[in-house]
Amino acid sequence: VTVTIRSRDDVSLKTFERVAFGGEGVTIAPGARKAMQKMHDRYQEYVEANQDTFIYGVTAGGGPDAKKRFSLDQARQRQSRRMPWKGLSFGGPALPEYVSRGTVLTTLTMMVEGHTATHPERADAIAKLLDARKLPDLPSRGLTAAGELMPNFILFNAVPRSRNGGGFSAGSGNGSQMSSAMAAVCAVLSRRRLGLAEKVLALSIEAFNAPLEAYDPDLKAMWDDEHESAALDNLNALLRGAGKPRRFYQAPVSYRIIPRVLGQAHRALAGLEEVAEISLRAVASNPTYILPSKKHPLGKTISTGGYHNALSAPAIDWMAASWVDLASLMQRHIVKMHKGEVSLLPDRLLPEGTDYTTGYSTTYVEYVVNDFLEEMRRLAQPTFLGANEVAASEQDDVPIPTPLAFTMERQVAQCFDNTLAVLAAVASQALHATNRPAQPPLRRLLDEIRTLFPPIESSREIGNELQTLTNTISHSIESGSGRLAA
Amino acid sequence: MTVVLDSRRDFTLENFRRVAVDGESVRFSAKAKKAMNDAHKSFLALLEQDRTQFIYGTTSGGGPQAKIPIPPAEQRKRAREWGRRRSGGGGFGGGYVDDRAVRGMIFCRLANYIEGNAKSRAVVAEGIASMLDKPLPKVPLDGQVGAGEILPLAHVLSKLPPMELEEGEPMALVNGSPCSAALAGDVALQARNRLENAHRVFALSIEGFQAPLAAYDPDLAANWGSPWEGEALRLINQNLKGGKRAGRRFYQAPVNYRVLPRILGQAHRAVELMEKAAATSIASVTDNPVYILPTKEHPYGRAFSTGGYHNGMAYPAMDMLSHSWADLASIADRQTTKFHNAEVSLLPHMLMKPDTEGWGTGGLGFIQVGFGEKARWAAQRTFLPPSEGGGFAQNDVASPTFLAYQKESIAATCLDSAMAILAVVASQAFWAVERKTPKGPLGETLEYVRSYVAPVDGRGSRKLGDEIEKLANAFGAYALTTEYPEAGANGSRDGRARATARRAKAGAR
Repeated sequence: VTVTIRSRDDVSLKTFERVAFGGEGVTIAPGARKAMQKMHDRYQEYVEANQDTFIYGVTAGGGPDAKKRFSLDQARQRQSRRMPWKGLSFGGPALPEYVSRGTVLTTLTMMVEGHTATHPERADAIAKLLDARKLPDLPSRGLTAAGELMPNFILFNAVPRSRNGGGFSAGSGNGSQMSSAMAAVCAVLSRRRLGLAEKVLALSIEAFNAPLEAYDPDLKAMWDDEHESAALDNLNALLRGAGKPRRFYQAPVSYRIIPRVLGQAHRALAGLEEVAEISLRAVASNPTYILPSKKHPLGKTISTGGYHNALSAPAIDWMAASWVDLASLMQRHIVKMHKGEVSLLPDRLLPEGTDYTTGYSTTYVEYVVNDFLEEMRRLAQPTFLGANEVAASEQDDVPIPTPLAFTMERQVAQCFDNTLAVLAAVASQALHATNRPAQPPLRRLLDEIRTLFPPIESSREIGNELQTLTNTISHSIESGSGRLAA
Repeated sequence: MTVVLDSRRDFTLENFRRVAVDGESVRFSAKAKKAMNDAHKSFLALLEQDRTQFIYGTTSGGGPQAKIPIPPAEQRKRAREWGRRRSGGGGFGGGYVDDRAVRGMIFCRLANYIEGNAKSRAVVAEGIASMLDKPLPKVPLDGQVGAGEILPLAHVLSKLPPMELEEGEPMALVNGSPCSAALAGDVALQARNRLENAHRVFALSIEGFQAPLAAYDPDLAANWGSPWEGEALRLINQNLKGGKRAGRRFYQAPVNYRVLPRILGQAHRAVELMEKAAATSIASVTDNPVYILPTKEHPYGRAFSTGGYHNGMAYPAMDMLSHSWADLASIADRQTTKFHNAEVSLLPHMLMKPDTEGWGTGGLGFIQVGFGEKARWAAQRTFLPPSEGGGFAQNDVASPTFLAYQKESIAATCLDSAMAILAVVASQAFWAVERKTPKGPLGETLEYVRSYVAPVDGRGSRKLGDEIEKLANAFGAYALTTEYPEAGANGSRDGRARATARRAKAGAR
């Protein structure tokens, strides 16, 4: 299956998911190819007519050489050279291939309407990368430069300009496509992760037998916030058929504020999705070719800061912070569930007549999540603009923040999955200890949890099982399918 | 002037501003008073149906005592006792919340009441509103991070006139999240103005640097597709009016100049999120227990426990804003230093004329470092606090809005300082190349900056830090009032200051 791109508007989070995660290829529609050819040709005229002006990368050098001027003959000679580096970055585990695939897709988005004046053959060659068995790996570190040349060196070095030698193009890869792809990847995975988190929190509510009034749909009108309303709607759908009677008095704060903390997670996710959608469709090339108009019949070329996506990192950071706050609630639930005086459940979820030394419950697992949570707090700090001079060239002096935000969020999310797994296991144990079923919408989820982590009725090695449960959760989120997919 | 409150629709950011900043009083419409009194009556009827039902704080104790029922015969008496208690609050340190934000807290407190969701009589709401017309309570900034907002509200309500409370009314006084709403409102009111000021200074910097204007071409808005970047481009171009169109440097400016529209765009996004969080929070009913008014299905209404007292949107929005202030301070730092580096800026070395001596403004690059670092320090993330201190397992998650508020305030002050330094350096760049004052907004900004800090010509001895601090304070004042104070207000050095300030003010509008 192939995604056909006619214009920038064809690229959305949905198409991104198909290409980056689903492995589909991309075809540039004939009409778009024609438009690209036309803009490419028009750009050659523009360059001829404006050869005495500053055109970054054509009549002027790049980066620190921007102040050097070149004739068109010199420029043609320079263009025939390939990028001087095949890749400089290294460090950390390789990023999943969906980052590379997404970056290729967003590169095509920049080109498809002609704003980079790219020859369509070169665009075809870039699209063809998606048909290869495997794209080059991007390392998770060493990508934080001014603009996105670091990943471009790795991904696009081997792509020929075009069969006919091409003409000039306008910064055809010098944009912020990797940052856009990272925002989109994070958005896709976060929606899956939040869906599963809501289910586990609803299971925790049921296991704790928390009064349901804190999730009453009438609160939507009181709070009047779309994201808190979404949280309330989802919780109510997941709590349908919840058991009765509930505990007489209100549950601890960590249960009652779930809709508001979940609401913030929804807000962060909605913001991230909005930023991703905008970024995916953005033409952020430097230079940018502004298409011909009545006022500028040959178009115009301008040097911009498009290669710096400033929206993605804060949006990703916000998501990461939401994982921390949700995990904080989960940690409270894990502890409180084992505290009989608070939960009104069997103390430490132990069978009657036993104590913790038997190992017949999940007690002491409370300790396990503490370092996950503390690690998350450290990793989820905001990603600021690097304050240091980032290179010898004082010209290229502000680094892109998104790669760091992206890798930090991934680590936060991993710790979150660990915490989610522990809460799922503990909630399962609480229902088991009181001989209660899960509410109907979550029975299948509980079965799946118990397949991987059966209720504890005898002493056994819990850590390994929790690791397996975590791995299954993370895999379901990464793949969007599987036993625990939201 | 008095703000008349009729329904929750009147709890707007604009009315918040009128009450908090402009010092207006509030009064309730007859309809609102009737709604409150009717709701209290129907709540009492609900209670009479079964005085053993769980209604937090009415038929049960509060906090860790929630599990302990209050015998029906004691419920009225207990309400009266609670009404007579005034703890005054236990927080201390960190200075005090500004009076305007305290006024905001009193205003926001009334959102639960106005349509009857606080199950309280109009007389109680009027008692709260009356605090706006008397000496305000002092609310310390520190020691206010607990579950819900009982801690700060104890301070806010310390000046509540004595009154006899009835069932349902005591808990409505101290529950909910009006303090977070007010702090969000206070930040939101200043955020857009602060960003506008940053726009003016950055425009002056662009012009002083002679950065090519292509990076701010309005056509980029359609290419980027982001409304916030579009707004940034619009304001940059608006503030660049009067600048040179031709004869600028031949090649592109350093990245820090070219990425400005995108970084300012993110700041616009942060401001928008802050304003939305504030507007939503100010109008929300957040009481616990909340009273849902009677319906056909529930003729006496319903009262139930919620987590409304926890505002989950204010502190993340403040954090996002702090992040932007820190990033803008970083850009100001870069520009300050690049201005003085002739090889990069193509301007005179150290921005000094050939026949002058000294460093001029060259040392200000050092000064910027500290403000940027402090802004980043202040903009560290605010999480739900790990400690359950004081919660007795039941009240186990604290609300961190006071922390985020203080941090944003520090980050914002650092930005004002960073902007003041950059403004002075940009002004120096005009002086160093003997450029005339441009017309339009650029000229107004330049004259305003010079009314506080004249170009440094190497003659005489000046306490430049003191001068720049006054300019930074003026920027801070603008954020709050949208009026640039005249230099004379805090130490005018220049007879032109008043006229210039008036022009700048007019331009700002």
